Amino acid sequence: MANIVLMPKLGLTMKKGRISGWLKNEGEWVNQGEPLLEVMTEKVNVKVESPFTGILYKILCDKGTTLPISVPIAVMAEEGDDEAVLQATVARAQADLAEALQASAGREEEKRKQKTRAVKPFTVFSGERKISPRAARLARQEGVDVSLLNGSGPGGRVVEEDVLAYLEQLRLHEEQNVIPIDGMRAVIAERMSASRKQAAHVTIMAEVDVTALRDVRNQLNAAGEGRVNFSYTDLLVKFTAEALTEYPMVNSRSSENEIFLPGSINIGVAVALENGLVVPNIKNAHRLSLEQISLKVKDLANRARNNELNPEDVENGTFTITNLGMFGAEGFTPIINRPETAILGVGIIRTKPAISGGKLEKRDFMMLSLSFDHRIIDGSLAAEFLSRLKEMLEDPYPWLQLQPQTVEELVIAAGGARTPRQLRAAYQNGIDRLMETAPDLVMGFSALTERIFFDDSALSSLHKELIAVALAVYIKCEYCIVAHIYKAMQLGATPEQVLEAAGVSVFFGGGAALAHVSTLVQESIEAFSKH
Amino acid sequence: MLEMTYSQAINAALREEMRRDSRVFILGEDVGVFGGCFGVTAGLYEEFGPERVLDTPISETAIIGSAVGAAAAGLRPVPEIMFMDFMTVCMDEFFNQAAKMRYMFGGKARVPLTLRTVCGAGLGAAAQHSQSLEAWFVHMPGVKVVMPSTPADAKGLLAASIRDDNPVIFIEHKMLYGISGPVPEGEYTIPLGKADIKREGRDVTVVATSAMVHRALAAAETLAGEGIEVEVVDPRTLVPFDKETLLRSVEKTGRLVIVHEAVKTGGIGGEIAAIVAEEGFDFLDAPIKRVAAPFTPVPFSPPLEAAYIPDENKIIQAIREIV
Repeated sequence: MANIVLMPKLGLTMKKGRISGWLKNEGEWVNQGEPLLEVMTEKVNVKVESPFTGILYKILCDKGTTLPISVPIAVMAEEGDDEAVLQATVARAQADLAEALQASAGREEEKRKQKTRAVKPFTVFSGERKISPRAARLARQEGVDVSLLNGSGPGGRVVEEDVLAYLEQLRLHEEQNVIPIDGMRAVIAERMSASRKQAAHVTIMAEVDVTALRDVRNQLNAAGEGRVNFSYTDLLVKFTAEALTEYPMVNSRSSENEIFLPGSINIGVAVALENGLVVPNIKNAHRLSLEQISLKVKDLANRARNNELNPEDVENGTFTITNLGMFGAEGFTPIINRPETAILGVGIIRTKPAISGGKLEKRDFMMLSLSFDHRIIDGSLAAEFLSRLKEMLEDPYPWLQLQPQTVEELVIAAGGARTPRQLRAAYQNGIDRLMETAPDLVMGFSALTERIFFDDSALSSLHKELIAVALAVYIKCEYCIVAHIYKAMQLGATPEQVLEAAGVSVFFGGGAALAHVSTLVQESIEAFSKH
Repeated sequence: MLEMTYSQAINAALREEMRRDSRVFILGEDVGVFGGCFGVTAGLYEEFGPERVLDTPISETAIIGSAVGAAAAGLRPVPEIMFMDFMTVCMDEFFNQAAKMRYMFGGKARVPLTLRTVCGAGLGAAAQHSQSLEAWFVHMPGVKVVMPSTPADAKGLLAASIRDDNPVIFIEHKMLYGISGPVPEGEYTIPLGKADIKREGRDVTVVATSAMVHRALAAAETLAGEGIEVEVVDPRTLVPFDKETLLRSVEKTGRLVIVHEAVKTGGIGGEIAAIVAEEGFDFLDAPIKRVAAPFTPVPFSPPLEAAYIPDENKIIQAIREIV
């Protein structure tokens, strides 16, 4: 027998629902009780169980349609159903649907009520919760999502009273057209106001010329042939991570009495959801290539929208980027995602006339707004960081090519460079690649090391290598760091000597991120010991 | 209404039924001249004589065996087993003969036998004279099980039992004999299988049997002072059992506490809990609680016996755990 599936009534107050998606396709076998479709009510997205067992013969209402309750939305067939009967059922259901929609459009409430059929009970899926059978039955009848309920019974069990209280609350809210602040909204409300109260918010802004960045993005996307599509957010995560390696304080977290300098740079990206937002973060962003960052950002955003984030995805962020440019905002004053101490707001990109190289040109500008906790970060430091980021974004070429690789890859490039000769070749390869992309860096390093290696015969080879390690750390060239550590250790340097050499430079260089470099140095030493 | 003790009410029912129907007779140990171990049959021997009030030897087997024969032959015997504990002696007569005969003869044989017996602790009568063994008989198809808690119920239910054409075990409680209460004047019966709501309440259902009904009512009274309204349901007959009243009450209150004096393990409380779990699961707002005696023989020592018998405090505690 053909069965008609009706739009379920999922809540006491529900009058309409939007089909947010079918979980089965036409022609697919569905068992009674299996999730059949998702329906968005005013408050929640609910997976609706199939009321029948059979084949989903015909979907009458597509994803995205908003419908009153109890109208036909699909026809299900049982095995051996006659095709003609099915066709007739579909025709009848479609006629019913059209009539119901017309009736609802024409505000013929009375007529529609007469047409309303009894709705089979649908189960509302929810997380594990202790709930009494009585409360569970009432929640099922009224379509209440159990996860939204308080549990006032023994051991936090949800009892009937809790469901009744919730329904009463809904009723009151409906009368006043008020949405309860609960669930995610309550968390956002609490955290935003707490941050506002605790942190001494200051926001500074800088207009960045992103013409070159736009070109880079276009080139990268063209080269990627649609395989990857880098967004401005991806690029901003990349550059911000890079800039943060030089400003560990901007990457800090804080409590009332302490400042924590994390060993990694975990950049959060605010993802807007239909009823709120979440900030999953990209762990160790400074060690990822642009492509890795892009994939990670997309993965996190997708999972955020499907409510599939894991707690670790949103924990331990060290800095947040929030992009409202896509919604047309120019500059704004974002609230810090505590316990982080700074947040970067990204505005819309606008093409403006500007003087560049003495000529009037069409150039692209983007407003960056940096909110920081003035208790932790001084104004000059914040301004310096923002200016550094601006500098990098305005001249993105060298930075983009400096894609960090793993130490293993660096040390054992080209099929396992273990001998000095192979290592020299791998190092040369790396330097060659750098020459193409960041000649200044290579030239600068050569100039710095020239005198040490060729002129000063008073120094031993070991000391020369250790000085080279220090200089490599100073200019932050990963190839150079790894290669010189490797060579120094071949010449008999102890890990302590290497660390000291790197440490001197970290101190001397001032800006270079202690955490990042020390990790790299540590890994290099370990890699050497292994081979 | 007359004011009467439980014991007097039973005596009145016996007297009225014997006057009403000459086939009714009683038999048992010391039921005649002595008037019964608890004085329940006092005065019957004088009125109805040795032919209808038979003092028997101390042989439960003989008492029930002869009663089954008399019932099958058309009389309506009301044998008494002085203490329920002694039911073990005549179990074959009752369990295999009385309970099965009507079924095995395709309905042609009837066994209109009402076995009166006495359960319960509280007299310091020790492990062999204090047990509450109603669950055994509930588990016995072919027998009706009656457990009255008030004088009025005792009178009406005993009359109904004697008029019933099937074997009935009518379980009196030795600690209830002295309580008094209002009893309707004249002959009346209370149908078997009809529970009574002894007190109405909206917060929790307490199902209690026999003497426990009074302790449940005392607990309800105490809790009412705290704003907890307890509904006390007395099933009155365990077989047939009035599921409907029970389920309606639990549907109303959402919570269930079962109180009986018998040990908890294998007790009637498990059966009642199972009925609600099976047929009223969706009514429940909290776990079902049972208040019953610990799984041990009844102690002789008075303080231990007092600790053994479920009391008002234990009932209150169980209710507080789920309300």
